[in-house]
Amino acid sequence: MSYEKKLMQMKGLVKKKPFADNIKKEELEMALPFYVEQWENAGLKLIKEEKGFYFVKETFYHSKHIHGNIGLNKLQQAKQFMQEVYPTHPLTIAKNSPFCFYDIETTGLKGAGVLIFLNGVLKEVENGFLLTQYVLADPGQEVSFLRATDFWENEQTIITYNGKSFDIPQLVARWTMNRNNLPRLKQHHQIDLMHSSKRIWKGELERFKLKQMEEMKLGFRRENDIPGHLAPIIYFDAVKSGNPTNLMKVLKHNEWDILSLVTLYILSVELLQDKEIIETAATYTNIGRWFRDLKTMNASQDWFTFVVNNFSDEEASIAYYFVGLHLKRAGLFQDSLEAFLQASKEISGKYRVEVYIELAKLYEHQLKNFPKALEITQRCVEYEAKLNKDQHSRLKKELIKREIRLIRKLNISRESAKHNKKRI
Amino acid sequence: MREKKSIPQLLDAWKVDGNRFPQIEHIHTTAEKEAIYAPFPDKMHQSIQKALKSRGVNQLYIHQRLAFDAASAGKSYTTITPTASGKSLCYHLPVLQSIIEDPTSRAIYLFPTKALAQDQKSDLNKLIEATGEEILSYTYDGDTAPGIRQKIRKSGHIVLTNPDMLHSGILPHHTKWVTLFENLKYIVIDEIHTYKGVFGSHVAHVIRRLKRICAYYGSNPQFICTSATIKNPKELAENLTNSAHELISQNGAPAGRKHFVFYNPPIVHPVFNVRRSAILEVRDLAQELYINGIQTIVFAKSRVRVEMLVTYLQSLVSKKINDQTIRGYRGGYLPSERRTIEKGLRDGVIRTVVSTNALELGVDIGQLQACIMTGYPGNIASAWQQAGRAGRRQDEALIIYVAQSTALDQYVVKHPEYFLGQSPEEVRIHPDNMIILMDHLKCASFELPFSLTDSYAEFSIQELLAFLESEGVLLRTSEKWHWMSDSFPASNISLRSASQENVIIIDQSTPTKTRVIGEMDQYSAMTLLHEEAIYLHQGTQFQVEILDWEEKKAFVREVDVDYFTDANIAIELKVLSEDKVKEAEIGMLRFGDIIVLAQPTIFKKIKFDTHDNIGSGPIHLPPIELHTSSTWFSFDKPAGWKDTLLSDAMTGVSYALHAFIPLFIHCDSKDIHVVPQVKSIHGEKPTFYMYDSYPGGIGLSERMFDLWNDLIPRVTEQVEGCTCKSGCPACIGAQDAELDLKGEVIKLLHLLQVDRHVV
Repeated sequence: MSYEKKLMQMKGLVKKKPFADNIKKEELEMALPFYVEQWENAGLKLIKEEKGFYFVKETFYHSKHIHGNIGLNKLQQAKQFMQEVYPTHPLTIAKNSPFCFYDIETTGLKGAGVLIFLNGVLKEVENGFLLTQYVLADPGQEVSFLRATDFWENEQTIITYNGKSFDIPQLVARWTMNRNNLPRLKQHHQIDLMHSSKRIWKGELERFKLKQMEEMKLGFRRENDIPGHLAPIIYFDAVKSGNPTNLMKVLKHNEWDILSLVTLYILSVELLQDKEIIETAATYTNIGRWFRDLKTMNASQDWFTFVVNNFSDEEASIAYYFVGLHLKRAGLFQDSLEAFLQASKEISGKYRVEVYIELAKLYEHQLKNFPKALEITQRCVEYEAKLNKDQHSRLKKELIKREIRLIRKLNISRESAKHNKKRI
Repeated sequence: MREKKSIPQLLDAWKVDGNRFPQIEHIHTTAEKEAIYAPFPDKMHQSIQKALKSRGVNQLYIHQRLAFDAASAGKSYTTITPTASGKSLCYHLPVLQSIIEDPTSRAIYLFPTKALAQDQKSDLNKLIEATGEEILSYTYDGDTAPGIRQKIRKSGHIVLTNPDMLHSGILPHHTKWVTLFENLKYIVIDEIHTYKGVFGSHVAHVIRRLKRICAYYGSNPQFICTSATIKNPKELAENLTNSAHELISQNGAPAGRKHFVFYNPPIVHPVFNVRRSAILEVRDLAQELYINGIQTIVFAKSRVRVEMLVTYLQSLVSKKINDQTIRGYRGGYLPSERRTIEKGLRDGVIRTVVSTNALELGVDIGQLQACIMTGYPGNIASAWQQAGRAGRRQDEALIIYVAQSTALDQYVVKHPEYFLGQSPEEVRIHPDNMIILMDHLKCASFELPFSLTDSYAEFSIQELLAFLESEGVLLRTSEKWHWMSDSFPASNISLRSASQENVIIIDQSTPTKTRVIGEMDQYSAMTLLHEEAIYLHQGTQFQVEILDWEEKKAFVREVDVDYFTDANIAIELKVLSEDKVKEAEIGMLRFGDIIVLAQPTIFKKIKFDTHDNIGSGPIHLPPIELHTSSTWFSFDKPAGWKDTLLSDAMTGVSYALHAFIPLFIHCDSKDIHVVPQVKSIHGEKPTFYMYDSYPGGIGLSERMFDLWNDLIPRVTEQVEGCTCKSGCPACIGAQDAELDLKGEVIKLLHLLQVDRHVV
């Protein structure tokens, strides 16, 4: 009988019988998918356990492995540095905390119907690193697939790229969807390298996609990479057709993502560690501001000083502003004034307004030089008007209030000067 | 200066006014009604009692008490109460009680629109504040700032939202709302009578999905519904929520005296029985009320009419600079503009507001003194909602119904008992509509996979799921049907209409200051925003210069002309399937599915005041397609009738059918259409098609299939009983006198009567 003829006969069968009769008893049992052999041939390993089954692929990297232009062996040192010097910094992996680098692939972007089909977890092992990629065998095998990770067993530090808003919420959502069949998910510590990268390279990079980071900073260029947005279709196709060719490319994509996480972590820590000039003044100023926002004032001051000492006045103008703030806080008003004056030479935009205000405050309150304070304030009003067209901004109101107050103070001091003369 | 008259003085004056009095068909006055009170329930928490007392409330209206008791007994219930009867306490009290008793309790409030939810939030928060309890209530909708969304999900006790947001913003993301769904005690659905037809059927499924998610998280919430006066509130609530409801129909709120005036504009063309335009009449009445300082709401049926009336009325104050006492209000205004108008009404700054049915709902504008309805709003529930806008507790209220020349309007003005007799419509929803069911089955599958044995609410669905699998949307594994598409189903399914993308209206009068002034749904846009149309916005005329249908943008420019535009739509029908057939004496009655193609054809320019036709032009727009259910009656061409005469007579019959079907099966006149074809595309015989206006049908034309035999005699009786000579808007539509079409229509109607001699 020809293949076509068989199909035609089956079509007739389907049409006649109501669907419910087609569910056969044996299908209700936990049947392995028809593509086990194909997927295993492609390099995935089927793991069966009491709750079901999943596929896994393990890849070992010797610590001498170099990804892009950064060696994985530097991780150890980077981790130690952070623990010793900045124990509470967002990039620090707490001492004694197990950690992993984590990246997922999903069947869509949002909502309860979106599945994770690939959990990629990289951990430190003896002599190197082990990447374990858990693959969802079919959408009915989520419980087994999720249980395969140790996120429910061991509290750990999970290092991701944009994991705070994507990977971890997705993981939590899947856990919730299977809450009746899974142990509780542990609360993990998170390090999100997208957040740290934005702190470090704000204004320097246009986009913060991992691919851009790799090309601009990590010296890594992907070849034959599949675009991430195709992942859902590829997974559906692999499950429906059984052919894993493209699915394996998604695994490769995920592998590169995770290796880049490691090197991005190393690079980020090195930038906090070594005062070498490999990045721009803006980047180092960003780092100084990051420490400042973290209330790590000494480190912050060190970085601004580093910028001031190693870059041109123009490049360092914002750093001068922050140095000025620091000196003012330390009570060194004259030094602070000099830093602000330095900053005021080249600085522009809203920082210029800030510098003017700081100068005016110093002249008015600390140095009691009212004419100078008034002059600066008036310059500031003029500059601000060009910058900001909003006639009713709070800043404008404050500036005008300052101007009026200074004029009044000036008049009073002139009056009292006159007064004093008369008396003499 | 003349002295201002009060409402009773005004009525007395009209009774002796030679112009007014003959036009008043009927005046009906309802007496004031005393309040019926009940004491606070003992178990009602002290802080709630304290909050009520601080507002001067020392006892409850009986309906509020009954509601509280039903809630305490663990029942789901529905209350029917008119506007301004303290109905929100029917749900606030039990909800607050449950949260005070157990602070982990949660409640969802569903309002038909975003605006209503925001209104109710401020009201609720005042009550909560007065209790001194720490109860967090938030609106959650498209406007909610991303920053506080997480807080709402985790710790909001009461979440005020709308069905659309629940459908696409909450249910598909239920894993983020675990705390809410685990602890959900009450689901409050306000104004359920607004959930009718397709929209209501969609919402019924959203509620079913909500219940499914609650069950997953182990909660089993009670429902509290409120409804305007309709015939079947209990049935509707039960159908909407798929749960048993107790009905609380007693109303303990007091009411002032109300005068209902049934006003029929004078006949201007006695031969054709044509009356003066109701709009012009309403203009005059509204002016009189305005001059007498009576705060008035005027309801008009369409956006165009609202704008026309605003234009007319604002001429009263054209000499005052920047006068804001007369305003329009309708969908399509920006939210901020609407808020300003609502506030103006509450403060009394705005003395006259002209509105579409947008103000029928519980938008808080306080109580006004008078209400004028331009024509019958199409159903009794709406009419009472509109009338309910007038009536302050102590004051007398005036409700004027001004009839248009249409058959339905004339019927109502001559039969006040139809309106006053308290026999309102049924509100029907049809969750079985296959298109709607399949839409929500997709959403439900996305939210939580169905097992191979699951059913969904009252539906057994395994075969439907298999169909979805064959469509490539689902994948069957050994236990479940899994969502297998990278699309997000809720975003492709709009609860409100088949065509979801609105047309944005852009004013480009000043080239450097182009601005968006409003938006409109596609179906309305076909007839109101075609190129060269005169679009009215807050009384200002704009001409549509470019309608970019692809991009859904209409570019308009301010103009000052003395006409408005009116567009015609051509309808084409195709029969898809015949599901039922019934033989009749001279023809066949059939029921099945059809496709309707609607396409605007031409527009006319009509002069203000005289309403003369002063020009026309073509409209070039693609047709809009509607799949729906239909009942059609086809018959053999009667011997001796020419095609043209038959065509005219059938048009007359269709007019009469369409006018009386809503009275007959209690539906809104725009829910059903009647189209005659002398030579039907399907079957080649003369045929009347009656079809539901909604995609997939909502059961109306199916009822026509059963009722057809009773309908024709009723229609015949009405047409024969009409006093006009040769056809008028009240029976078969205005006709050219020379043809004496009325006689032919009656002849045809008699021919159409199946089994007449048997009955």
